[in-house]
Amino acid sequence: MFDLIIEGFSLVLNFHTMLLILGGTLLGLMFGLIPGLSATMAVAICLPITYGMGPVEGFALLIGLYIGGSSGGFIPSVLLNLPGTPSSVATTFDGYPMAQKGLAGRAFGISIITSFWAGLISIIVLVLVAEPLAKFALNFGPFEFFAVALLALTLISSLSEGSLLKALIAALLGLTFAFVGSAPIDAYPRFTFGMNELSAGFNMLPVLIGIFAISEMLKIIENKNKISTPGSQLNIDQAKIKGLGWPLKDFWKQKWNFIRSTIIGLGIGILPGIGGGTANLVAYGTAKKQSKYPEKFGTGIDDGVVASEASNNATIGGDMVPLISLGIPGDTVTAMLLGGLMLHGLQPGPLLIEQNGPIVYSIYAALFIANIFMVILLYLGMRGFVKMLSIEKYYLYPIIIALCVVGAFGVNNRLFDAFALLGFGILGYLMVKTKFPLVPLILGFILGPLLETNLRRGLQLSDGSFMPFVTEPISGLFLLATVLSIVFSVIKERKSRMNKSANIAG
Amino acid sequence: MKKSFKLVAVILVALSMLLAACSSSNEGSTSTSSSSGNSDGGESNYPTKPINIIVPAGAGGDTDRNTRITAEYLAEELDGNLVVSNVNGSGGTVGAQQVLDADPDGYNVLAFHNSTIINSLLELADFGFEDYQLAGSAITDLSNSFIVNADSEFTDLQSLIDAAKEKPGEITIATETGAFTHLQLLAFQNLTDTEFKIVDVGSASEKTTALLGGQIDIIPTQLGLVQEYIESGDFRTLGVMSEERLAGAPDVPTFVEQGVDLKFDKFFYWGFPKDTPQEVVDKFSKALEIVTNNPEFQKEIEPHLLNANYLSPEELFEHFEKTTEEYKALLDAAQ
Amino acid sequence: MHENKSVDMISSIVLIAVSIILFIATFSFRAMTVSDIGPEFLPRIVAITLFILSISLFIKAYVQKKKEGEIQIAEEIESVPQKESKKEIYLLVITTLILIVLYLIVLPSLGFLIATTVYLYIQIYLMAPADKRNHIKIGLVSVLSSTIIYFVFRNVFYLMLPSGILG
Repeated sequence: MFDLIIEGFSLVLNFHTMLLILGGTLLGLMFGLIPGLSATMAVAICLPITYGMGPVEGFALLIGLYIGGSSGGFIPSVLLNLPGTPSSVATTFDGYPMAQKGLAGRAFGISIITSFWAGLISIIVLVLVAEPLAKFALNFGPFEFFAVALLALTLISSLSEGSLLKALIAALLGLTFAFVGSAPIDAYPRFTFGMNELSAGFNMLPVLIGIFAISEMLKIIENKNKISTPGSQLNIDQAKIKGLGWPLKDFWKQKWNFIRSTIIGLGIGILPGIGGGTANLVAYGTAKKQSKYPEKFGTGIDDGVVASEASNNATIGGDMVPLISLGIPGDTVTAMLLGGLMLHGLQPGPLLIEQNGPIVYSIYAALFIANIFMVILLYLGMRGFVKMLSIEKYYLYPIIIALCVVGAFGVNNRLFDAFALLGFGILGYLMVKTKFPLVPLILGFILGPLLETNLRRGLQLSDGSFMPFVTEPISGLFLLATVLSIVFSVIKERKSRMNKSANIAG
Repeated sequence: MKKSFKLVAVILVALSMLLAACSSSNEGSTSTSSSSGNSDGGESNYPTKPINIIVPAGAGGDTDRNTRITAEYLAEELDGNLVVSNVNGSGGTVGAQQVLDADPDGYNVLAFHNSTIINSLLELADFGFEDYQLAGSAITDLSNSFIVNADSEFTDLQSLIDAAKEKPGEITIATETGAFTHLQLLAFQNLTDTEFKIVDVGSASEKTTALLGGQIDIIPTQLGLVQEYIESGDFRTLGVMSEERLAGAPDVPTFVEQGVDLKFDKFFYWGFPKDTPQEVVDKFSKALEIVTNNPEFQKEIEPHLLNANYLSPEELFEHFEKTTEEYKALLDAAQ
Repeated sequence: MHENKSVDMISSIVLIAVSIILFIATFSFRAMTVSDIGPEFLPRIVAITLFILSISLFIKAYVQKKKEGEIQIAEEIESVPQKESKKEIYLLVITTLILIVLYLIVLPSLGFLIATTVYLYIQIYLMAPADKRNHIKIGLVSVLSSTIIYFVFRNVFYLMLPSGILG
């Protein structure tokens, strides 16, 4: 293997290939940081460019795009309270309040450092133990996936402030939006109310960006008279980064949170079909549940940013695990990478490493190098990103809307997604006005299809019996965890309510 | 004023970064583009702008792969730019509908396969192949096959049929409900008078995953998509549904040889929206024919067990009609 | 105490209506497979749960509103002077929404470049505070940014943005 590592690096360590990785990472970062554009889009757009290249060069570019696109999303999350990608929704929870306190530089420092280390760990795991991990992931069938999705749904309570009732309603709405379009298994349309365009359902990106970006813009319009004061000037001065932006001793304090979030990201990444969009929310929710001071989450503490950013970068290596060792794509980006492999005449599958070892190891090398480029580019670009704060919001937001329209075309090449974007924007705005939390809706929307498809497939396998969901060991374990999670939150809620009433009475 | 300059500066810097990244990534590519200017010329110099190819399936599958390979050769032949867009959803009906609704100017074309027939027979779509201006077909996939795990008790079709007769409805077989493979299963059950437990597992790669994980006994899929797993000793095939043995896999027996008269071909066609100028379609068909006869193209698709087989628009139409009748009979028999 | 309970009551009524519509809609689903748990199973459960939760939200809001009735009135009196500017702001929100709808409608026929330039110009003008409404500056930003976006995505990335009358 050592020979292969050297061979892989030697294939990549030339000026031209390094330039491709650098260019890919840079372009990926831009796609990641612009709300409405995503890593998926960057890879889709650049895939044809790679046809004419050799496989090593082609993948150098694609890997750069993948790493960059998966990493740039925290920037708008921190600065504008807008998740740049589905993977950085949870980064807004504490990253934005931190920036509001004038600590944008710190939020960046945390994001960059944790992204780098989590990414690195996931790549090392990929190189060393991809095969056994992928084999283990194969144990996950419909029963197991259903149980995992259910467990993730119970995090609603820790992912939202205020009324639990409203959070649950929001999650149900998210599930409902996921139902729209052709049903899993039967393929006939549901909830389309006669509209042909709805039969494909809603895409993740328009839903996410609509809910967050458009509603944010409408909020800004509401506060129009307040924004004329250049209040952001203060933030810029304080956002200067000292050193790496985040003292080592503070990182040390986060070690358990970091390790836990990285493992969550890796695990979710390895399972085919779920990725960074779920991982960051699950990691955040778990970090909050495990924390000794859950009430401080959402006020701009390190823990929240660490959880989100460590987990979403750890999914990169995780997603590559089943792709490289078994030829199974873990998410949309890796599905495109799979297509890329085939177009370069490589047959993805269990023999890929054996037959094309040097190329696979050059992909590993590209992952390592892109991860390093990502850090360098982010630190170099830091001042520029923070400067974005000084652009008046009334210029920035309309341009973001235009870019979202471009993004809507990029996802599925149809205008309908742009209308969906607007529709979800209005919904998001109304929800903010009526104090319904947005995040449970996103969680319900992401997990809905997973939950339903696997429930129905499982029941097909078991001839309609629910028993295997409980008796299959892995699935049973996850269901037990689900029950425990609900019980604990109820107890916690009771306790805090009793404390409150005790305080009032006293 | 200062602020706006700042903004412009930021945008310009961003743009130059984008362009720099792109030109660097373009260096190594043999760009297929050669069209210049955006002005719309007559059909004689078609194409004057990028042609938008809609693939109504996701990346990483065989529809996407076959289209992209063909598109690369077509771009050379047509001396233009071809852009492949994946429009996923509803078993392909969304992308197919989108092409029907697009401008019939020759710059929107659908690349899909026989599922068009099944979608209209099952009323998933209210349109069919006859609603397109067909341009022809370049690739036929004859490697439809039943795949089992290497340690499976089934060694050939007969052992499978025997076992299925012994315990009807117990052997699990994967499908994507309402898709091409579903039809194959219905036909197989009908012909052999057996009953399987048909379980929806999803797309081709999800089927592979389910078989690897041992969650299912048999998957029907293209042999070309799972060759790697057969070579690695994970999977075995029970035969292919072609008339004769495949040139690329001479050891694999056909279903017919094993006494099951089941033949299926998956053909990948190209279709323009109705009212597209005839000259444009003709030019495209001609290019498709040349590509199909190109030895380099044939060599490139060979390892995927695909056949380069040109069907002219007329031949394709007839083939569609004939296949529709067959499928219809199969579905009626199953109900 | 600042939460307006009447808003909760209105939204819960809307949600109750939505859940009923959803529940009814599940009866028109078509299925290809015959099974007890069909495509209508989970949507129906969700619709029923939504119905129950919305009713509890309504009751909760109603009870609390009764309790806090007096405080509420006091608050409303306080906010009267702001009413006028509030109206104006909501008008702006609605104008923005209509503007985006119009933008999306004309996009295919006018093309991305022209539609976006016009949209950006009007939108920025609407959003900018009165003292910052510099026509040249806004015009420059609109033209430049839409041109850059259009050419980068269409000519470098070959993303099929509608070219409209320019195409």
